[in-house]
Amino acid sequence: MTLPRALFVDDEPRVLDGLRRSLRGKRGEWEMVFAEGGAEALALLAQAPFDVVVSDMRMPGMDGAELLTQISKTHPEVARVVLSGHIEPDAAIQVSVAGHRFLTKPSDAQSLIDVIEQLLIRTSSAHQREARRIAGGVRSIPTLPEHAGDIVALLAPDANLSYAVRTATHDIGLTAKLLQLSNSRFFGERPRNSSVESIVNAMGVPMVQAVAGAGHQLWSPDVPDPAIARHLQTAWRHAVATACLVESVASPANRPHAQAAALLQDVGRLVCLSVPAGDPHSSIDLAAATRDGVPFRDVGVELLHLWGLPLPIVAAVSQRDVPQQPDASGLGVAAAVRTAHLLIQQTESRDPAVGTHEEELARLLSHPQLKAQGIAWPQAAEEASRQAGLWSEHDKP
Amino acid sequence: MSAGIDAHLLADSIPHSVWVLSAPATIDYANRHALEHLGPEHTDWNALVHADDRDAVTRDWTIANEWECRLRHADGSFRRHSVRLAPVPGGRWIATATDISHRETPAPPRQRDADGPDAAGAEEARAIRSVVMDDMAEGLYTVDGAGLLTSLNRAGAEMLGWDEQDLLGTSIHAAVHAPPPAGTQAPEHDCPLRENHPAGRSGQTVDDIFVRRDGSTFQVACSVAPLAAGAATAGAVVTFRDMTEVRRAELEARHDQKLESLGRLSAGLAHEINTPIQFVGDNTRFLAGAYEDMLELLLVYRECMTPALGELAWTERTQRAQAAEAKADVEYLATEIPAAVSQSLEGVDRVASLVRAMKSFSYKDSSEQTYADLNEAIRTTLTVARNEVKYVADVELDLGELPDVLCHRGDLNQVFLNLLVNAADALEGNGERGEIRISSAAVGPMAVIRFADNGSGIAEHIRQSIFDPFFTTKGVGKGTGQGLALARAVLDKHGGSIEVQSVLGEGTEFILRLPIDGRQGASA
Repeated sequence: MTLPRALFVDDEPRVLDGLRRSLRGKRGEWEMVFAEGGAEALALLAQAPFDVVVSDMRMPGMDGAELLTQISKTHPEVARVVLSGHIEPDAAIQVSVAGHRFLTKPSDAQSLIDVIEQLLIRTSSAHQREARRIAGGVRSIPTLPEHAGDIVALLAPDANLSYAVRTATHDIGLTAKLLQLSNSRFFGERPRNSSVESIVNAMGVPMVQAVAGAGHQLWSPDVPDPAIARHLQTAWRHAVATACLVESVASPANRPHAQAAALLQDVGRLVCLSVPAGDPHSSIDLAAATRDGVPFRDVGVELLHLWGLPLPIVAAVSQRDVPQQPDASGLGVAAAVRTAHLLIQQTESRDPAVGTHEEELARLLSHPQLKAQGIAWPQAAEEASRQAGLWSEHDKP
Repeated sequence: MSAGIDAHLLADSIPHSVWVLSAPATIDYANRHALEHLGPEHTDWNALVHADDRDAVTRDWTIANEWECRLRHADGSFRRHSVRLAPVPGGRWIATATDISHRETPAPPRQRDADGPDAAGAEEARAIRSVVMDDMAEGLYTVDGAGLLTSLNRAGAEMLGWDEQDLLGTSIHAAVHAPPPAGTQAPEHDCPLRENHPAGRSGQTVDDIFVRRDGSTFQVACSVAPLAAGAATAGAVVTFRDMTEVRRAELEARHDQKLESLGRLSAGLAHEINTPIQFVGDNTRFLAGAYEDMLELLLVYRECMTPALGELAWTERTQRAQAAEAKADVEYLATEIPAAVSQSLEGVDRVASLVRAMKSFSYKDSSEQTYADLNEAIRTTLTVARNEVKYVADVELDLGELPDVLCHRGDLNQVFLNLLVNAADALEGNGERGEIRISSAAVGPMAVIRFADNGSGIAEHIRQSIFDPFFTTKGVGKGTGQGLALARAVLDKHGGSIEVQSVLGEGTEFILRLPIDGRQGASA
């Protein structure tokens, strides 16, 4: 079996020398190649496949953002890591749409090794290559056309913090991007289970606007096929309703991850159906929920994994359609999301693409954690569904 | 008001323009200031007013008597003036105009006194005096040859907190230069406002600090004009303006500019430090591992040498040593360890020299000028701004023999930084890598420093605005438009000059000239 290949790009040869030496212990596990600039890196990529590229940002000639953007188009299957000495958040946002993971200089060898090893993990046993190719090319997740107005309003100079929180916690793409950034070193150390709300509060409105704006610029103005648009609206409403309900279902400690996972449960569907439509060879099978034969869910999980979202979120998204048997001691994130999902399946916000699994739901609702709360779950689900309905309706023209 | 002074003499000594007009706006009389600054050839006063302001002035003629409008100077330029009109007997008006083009914001019009000039039966000269003196925004006082106050206008009285009556016939020097709380009064013959009398020079502006009646102080800019009153010894007319706000605004603008460049620099400096720290860290970690490998090898060697092995064959010992050497990859370590050490030291040197340059760059000026090596200052600035420049341009230094220059080094560092960053910004996004050339040379008594770039150049129509405060062509958040304004202010302070030469499509050159021995008279 051939070794995984990693490409390191930096205009400072001393940095490359240092990396070569400090990563020497990995020479039996990876093949490492070093390039002193973007042009050289692209030439190397054209010669032989790589699994990971680690690039500096500011470089003379082609800079890192340009290089990584180019790689995202021509070699979407290569995982992209930024290793930059620039500390300004502006720079971070500029690269947030170009890279998958972000490390700051100075970073110790172990942090870099951890990130590279994570990116070499295969999330999909059956479709790894294709799932990585589809997910790897994604730089920004679009919002639905009827919610685009929310993003535009968020970008207005008078947008306030509570509006930013409300928009970010209801927008799948923005939630994913904020979680991706907050888990990188660029924004300082944060508790591992921050909620999107606390991330927005900590970042402040201008930064959230910059993140939203950077993603917004990449969206294609094409109007999706009406059947696909309806399909996505249903999935979106289902995600918002589940996120709303899971707040009550999950334990306080699990709540941030559970909410994020609930909102992101169908991110793969959103990505497969809306980005990039330009490839004539890509085939979508709505009934089988696959793109190019890869299940939407596999693409979504691969994307969240590439973006470095916390493992409990990735696991919960990956197991949404897997029957759960939670331990009596606690529900856990995945079972909480599954329970909320099945409860919403009983309401108007149901997703007709998947089943209702009443028996499993009854079993989950008899879990000690949920029984102890004394909440009338069907009514709570109806209320969450109603809220999601209002949210979905309010922007419609 | 003290009599016995000819009205025309008084009017001519005032550093503002004064006219006597008859209907419709015919100039009957113009004082010396008006003739010198606005030109002698005019008969129609309205012709002096900028075409765009003329409507407003003629429209408001009957309802208002105070405006701000642009007046044409003898050199053809239009400058903002504060203009007042006051009616005098005989259906005529007295117009006064004060050049306020240097002010940043128009001052709110002062409240008019309902009494106005005493029109009834007063002679023209008296009227001129009243209007000119009492209605001008500047403070004005006149003294006789002995320095005793002969008149003080209303604005002056308000500013000082004294009534004219209180001070008439007393030494004005004693009043406005009252001794500080812990100290003695400066002797009168040192008074900067008295110095000018004998020399008879007029139109000089003196920066001074006045003391109010309540003991508080304020910064003023004074203008002193000699005044000959008949056979008596020469007195003087002194006008003064409260500069507190102006100075505060100047200070703030400068502070903003420093913060702006500091913020930008600190991001770049962080990058310049983080990069060597990255490879110094990597190399040191490598060396730690290499040491382990070497030590392990050494222990094998030691074991091979130990007598405890007794009879063990020499071949067996060499085999063990060779196996250990192969495991440690001695060849690799032998080439890489020295390189890792020297590159680490190089990284440490880089950070150290950067920190030294930062310290030197942020050199805090005392109020006194000191002799400084400007070539060194340029190199220092280049070091701290390296990250701003290195991605867009190559910098070529052509620093000639330059004696130490008497200057405020910290201020000049700031100017060099502004010019360097501007040049880099001009080259950014030009597609190809630009070139910045910095040269220095001594030319006679002057140090001449040039910052040239081969960027796109500055269009002629904005070239005259680039030194204006708040003028910027950079995007929002990229510049506050203070950089070149500050550069000019600093050069002015040094008695030097800054000039720009630019050819569209070829590049721009800024030329700084500084007197090597400092500003003439600065040490006085």
